[in-house]
Amino acid sequence: MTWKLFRSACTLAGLALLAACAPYAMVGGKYTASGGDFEVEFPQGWRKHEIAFDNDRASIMMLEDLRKQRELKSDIVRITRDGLMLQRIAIGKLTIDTELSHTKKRFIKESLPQEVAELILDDFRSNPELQNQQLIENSPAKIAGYPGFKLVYSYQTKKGLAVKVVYYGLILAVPTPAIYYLVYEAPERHYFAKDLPTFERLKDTFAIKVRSG
Amino acid sequence: MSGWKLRPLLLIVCLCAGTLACAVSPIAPLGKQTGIELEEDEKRLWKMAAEEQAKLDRGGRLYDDAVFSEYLNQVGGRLIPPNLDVKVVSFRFKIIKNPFLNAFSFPHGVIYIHSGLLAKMDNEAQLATVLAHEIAHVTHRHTLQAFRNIKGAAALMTTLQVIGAPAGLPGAGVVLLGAIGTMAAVSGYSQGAEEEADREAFDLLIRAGYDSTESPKLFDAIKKDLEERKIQEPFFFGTHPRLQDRKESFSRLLRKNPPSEPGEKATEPFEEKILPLLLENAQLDLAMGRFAFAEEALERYVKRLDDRPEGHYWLGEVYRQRAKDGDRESAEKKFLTAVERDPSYAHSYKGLGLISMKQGEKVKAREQFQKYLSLFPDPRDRGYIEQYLRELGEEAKGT
Repeated sequence: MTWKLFRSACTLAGLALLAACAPYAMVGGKYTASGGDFEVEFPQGWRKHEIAFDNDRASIMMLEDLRKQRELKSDIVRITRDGLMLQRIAIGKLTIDTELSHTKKRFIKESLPQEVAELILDDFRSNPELQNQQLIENSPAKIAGYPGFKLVYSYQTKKGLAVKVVYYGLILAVPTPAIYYLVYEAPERHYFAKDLPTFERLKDTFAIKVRSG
Repeated sequence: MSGWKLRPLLLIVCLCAGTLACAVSPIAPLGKQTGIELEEDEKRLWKMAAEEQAKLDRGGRLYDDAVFSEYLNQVGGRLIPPNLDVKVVSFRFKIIKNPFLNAFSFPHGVIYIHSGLLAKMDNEAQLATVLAHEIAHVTHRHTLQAFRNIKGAAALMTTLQVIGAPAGLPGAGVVLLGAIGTMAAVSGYSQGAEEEADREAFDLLIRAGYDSTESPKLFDAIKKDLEERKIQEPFFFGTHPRLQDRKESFSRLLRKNPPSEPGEKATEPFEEKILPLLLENAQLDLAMGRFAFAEEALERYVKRLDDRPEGHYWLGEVYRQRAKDGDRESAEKKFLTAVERDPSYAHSYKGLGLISMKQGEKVKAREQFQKYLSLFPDPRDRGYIEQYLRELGEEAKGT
């Protein structure tokens, strides 16, 4: 009996360990960033991507691209419902001195939201891995009550997959200058339209916890 | 497949290609014998190359200025060896919007040159140098040579399980072509093939009547420029050792065969045609934050077209975006010059408006933004400008 109990306990512990080390963890409800800088309400049925435990080749490839975008250097959370290649929402914070991947230009704390948007676009345009880059929208937007920007753009991967992106961002000068962003990215066909309303609802729940002053 | 992932493969490929080079029977250049027939593997290589090239053309990065494209094809056409059977290979020359310094050829005769490399040239003779070098890669079938060497290398690697080819042979073929393409674009062909391309290019230049003394000057100027600005480039024509090789190779050829009569530089027609490209490439450099390159090209543009507003406006943008000490004043000056040159050029007012707004000059900023919208009623950034106008209006009321 004791042996049986021990075995069951070991099995459960093993399963718990496996679950803890899985590349995805179920999410839903309120999420607070590890640094406590922002909060957001995650949709039900979506999974948070755990970089450290991802051995999946496709995801790794995606992550390499993400690493190029310096997203891993920032305080970032990435969620998906069906897999990163099919749709992903990334929410994060960049410090003002963050180096972008493809442009040498830097953010400056006096930048206007429009200038931050232009810089994000310059980095996107300068990415040689992407083809047929198209800017669809670049407009002012309110995010978490702050003036920011909304970008909508599309591109084709080298394999010909058409991808569409919505990028919300804002710059805060105090207490420490930083850029906050929410990005939704999905293949244009079938997937993009499907989860766009979920992303827009999520964006509306985004709140910055570190208040100015 | 990214260049990074290809690096270990390329390294092995280059090493194996080098060691197997002697094992591959020599390939006669196209045009040196009549009635030349493509061999089976070459036909396959050309087919794959044509597919890759079509993808490249669909990638949205072709520079489509009809005037310069026609000019480029004229210069290229003048260099094609006269004894070449045009039924076998038909040359086409295209421009890619890319600020990095590069040019490359596909084995079936399609040659691409980056706008960045064109922007560094001073005259037609220098353009002809690069085109002739690429033509020589095609006529001397250097891709086929590399393909055969790599095929041998790949067979070796497959045996050693260095390359698992789950996609099967066609997949492996595409991988190989990608490896060759990357190798050619990044590190060039073998040293022997590159020198052969230089020798052939030198002959083609002289035959076409160009000034061959311009060839080493081009590579020397680019090398010095990159060194001075401490800029590192990823491609063949932008890397220090390869530029040095080309410079030395062309200098050697010149010493051996000094021109008996001065050839044609053709500076004027080149300068006239390159101006729109200079403007476009400067914007690519600016997007990448390569301010010095953008500034240099725009200064060159303005020198020729001082009476036009766009060069001054983009110089203003370089300074505004660089935002170093004194740049705000320089930007303002350039925007004002653009207004002076053409008061109906809308963008200048936006640049001035942004500067005035940041300086807290609300009335001035409002006027400048209003002028911008009156001249350009439907800009992509209308939303931002309207927001600035609202904010400036409210602030003006509040003060």
